Amino acid sequence: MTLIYEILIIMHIVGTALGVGAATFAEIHYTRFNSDDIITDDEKKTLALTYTVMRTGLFLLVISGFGLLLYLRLTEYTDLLTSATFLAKMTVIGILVGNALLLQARIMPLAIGAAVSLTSWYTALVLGSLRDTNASYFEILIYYAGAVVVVGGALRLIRAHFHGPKNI
Amino acid sequence: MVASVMLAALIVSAEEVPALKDWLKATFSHHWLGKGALAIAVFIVVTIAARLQGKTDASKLAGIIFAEAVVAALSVGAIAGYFLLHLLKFV
Amino acid sequence: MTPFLAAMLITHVIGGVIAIGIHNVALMHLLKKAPNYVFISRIAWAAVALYLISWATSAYYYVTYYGTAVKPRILAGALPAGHIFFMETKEHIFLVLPFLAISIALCASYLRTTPDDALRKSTAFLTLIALGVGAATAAAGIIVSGSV
Repeated sequence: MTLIYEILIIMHIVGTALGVGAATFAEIHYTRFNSDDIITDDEKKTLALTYTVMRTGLFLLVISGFGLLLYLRLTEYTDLLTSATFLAKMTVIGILVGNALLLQARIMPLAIGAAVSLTSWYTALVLGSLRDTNASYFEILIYYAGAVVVVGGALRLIRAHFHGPKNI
Repeated sequence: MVASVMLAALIVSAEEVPALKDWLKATFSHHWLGKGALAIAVFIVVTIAARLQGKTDASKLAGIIFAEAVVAALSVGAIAGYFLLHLLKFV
Repeated sequence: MTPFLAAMLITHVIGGVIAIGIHNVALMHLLKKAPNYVFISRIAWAAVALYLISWATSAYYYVTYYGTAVKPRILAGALPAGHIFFMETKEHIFLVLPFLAISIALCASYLRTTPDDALRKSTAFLTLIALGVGAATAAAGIIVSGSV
């Protein structure tokens, strides 16, 4: 069982690396590619590939995540499943997936959606690394909401730097 | 759509009427298996009936599928709501 | 818990999670103006198969083990709502999922031969509902396991 646990942890870390890395480079690529208001076919392919890597990361994360939950259940170590940090992390993952759907449906504006996506990935990484905090579930979500606003503002400034303000 | 409504009604009824739950258990060896079996039967019958009545062209299907989605959401809400009331000891 | 029951539980969870993921992918594709209905119908039928497998394995686990070995522990533990609300709700709303999955697969198969924008949108909405119910079921499962 220890080998299975180690495999699941590695899979989870790889998924996180792929997802966070791809989310970061999706923003970098989009900011750079859109600086001239034209996204060429090659640039579209690059963005599409980046999103494919992100989805691959999410797939690995979800499968290994549920694998780890099963491992905890079968070894009777279930305290983590009701901890505030874990539940907040699951909520953030849910927001991440919902945000992706809203972006696809063109309901979510790109500026807000990008901030939510990038912040969600990093929040999930941080919460997973911290394992347990003294903060309550709602405190963590308040910090998360604040981080979305800060990241959104930062992305806006960065895009304005590479772009005219009217074209953000 | 019909199966969703039937399930919601059957689930709440079985909780409120012990005799119904006992009948499901006696007939299907477990009440949960009974609910599943009846839902499968209703789904098959209604699907065949709809096909025979010709309610399967695209224009009608879009409306039926939308209605199915709404009814399924309401049924699930009703089921969850019932057990929430059960938890809070209102029923 | 015997290794066979553990295998049933693992199959139930992983099968269900992959089926939920498939509906997420199907929804993303249905939101496009010109989706690849061949791809969507194939993955939709895969989701049906996975939900039926998840249903069957959960039925075996629930009927033979959960009622006698797990439920009493949850009811006697710190979070009895884990069974009274979360498990009771989960085991019943899960009954709706395979039928939603079959409807989605049938619509996707129909759209392969007869593309229709209104039906595409309705199917996308149905897939959204199925995704929501699936996600709620998975979340309830996590709470139930945490209540043991």
